Amino acid sequence: MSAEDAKLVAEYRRLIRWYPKRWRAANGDALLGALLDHAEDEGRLSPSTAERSAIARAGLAQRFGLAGTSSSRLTLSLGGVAVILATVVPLVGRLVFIFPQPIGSSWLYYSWQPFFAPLSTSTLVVAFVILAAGFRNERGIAGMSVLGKTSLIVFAVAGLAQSVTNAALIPPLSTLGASRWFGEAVGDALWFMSLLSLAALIVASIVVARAGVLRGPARWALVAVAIAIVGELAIDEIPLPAFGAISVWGSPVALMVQLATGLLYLLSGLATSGEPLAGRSGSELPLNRYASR
Amino acid sequence: MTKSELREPSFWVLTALAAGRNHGYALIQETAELSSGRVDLKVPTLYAALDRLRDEGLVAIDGDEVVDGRLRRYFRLTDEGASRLGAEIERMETNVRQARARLKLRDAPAIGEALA
Repeated sequence: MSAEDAKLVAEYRRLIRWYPKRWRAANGDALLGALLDHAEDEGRLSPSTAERSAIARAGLAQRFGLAGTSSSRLTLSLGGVAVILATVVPLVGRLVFIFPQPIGSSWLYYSWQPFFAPLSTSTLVVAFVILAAGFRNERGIAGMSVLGKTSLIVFAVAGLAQSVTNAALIPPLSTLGASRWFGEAVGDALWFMSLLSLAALIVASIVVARAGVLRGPARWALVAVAIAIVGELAIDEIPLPAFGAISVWGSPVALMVQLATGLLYLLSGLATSGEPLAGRSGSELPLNRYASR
Repeated sequence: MTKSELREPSFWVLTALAAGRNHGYALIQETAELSSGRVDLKVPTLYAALDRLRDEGLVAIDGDEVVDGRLRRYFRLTDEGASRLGAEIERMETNVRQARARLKLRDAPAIGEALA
């Protein structure tokens, strides 16, 4: 084997590490052989960009058990990015207040704080509309279920309505000394929106898990978000100081699970190519024949 | 996806294997040729498709050979794969017949008008 061939083999071997170990052990050498045949035929001395990307996608699909999501590639990628952004925005907002306030800028320092929640929930609405309806004729994560699609959108829109009410209505109420009756009505409306949002999330998570569009852990991500939110609401009701700290920090567990959901959707989207990717690795082939060379 | 539908790459992979066993890279060349260049599979995409077709029992591994120090894995069409390909051809033929009949209906009034 020439030095150039050895270099190409080493490069392909490195790329094949995108696949899980078990898959590599069973199919790695056959894949490598075909990749080398292809490179030789095209007179290439290094993997092409398209090949690198295809190996990474197929490897990730094997690692995360994301087979069969190809008909929702853009939907999952864009929806995943939007969910990540929606989660990161309020986290960044909180981190900013770690830094000391510049002298003489108190109004500027705090003035943009109320916009974080509506900005985050607006992004979440965009994310869930994409995930529910599907991007450019792709399948949404709830498949054909109208109930699932509606629940996904209701969940996000109720969250947006809640945050806008909180940001735009509550501060004027307290400063203007609004009537007690109006204050209670707003409180009831917020309570109703939280309930509606949570109920919609629970229904949506069940429909999505049953729809079969998502595979692997991504399929159960929304169920985990629903469990995290219900769990935190339950913990809020327990009158212990240790649990009280959780509400002060504002649902860190639910936010982390939401972030993980975005990442899983994004990975599901990126891991798919134009052809459905399948998942079994079983084969009778012995391990890496090139390893010893 | 219902059982009666095959994506185009899978259809051409099964078609390529209908003529006899073949190995990975040769399948890529053959699918490109059979589809008149429409299907240009990358090696990892082909292997993903073959994995899925194996899961469905439509293709099977038919031995490995080492050529010039490279491993070539051969695949073959199973009986189930052959009948699935046959069903797919039947479905496509039905579609073609229906579409052709509808097109004739569309053309018919125009011919009538021309004659009048």
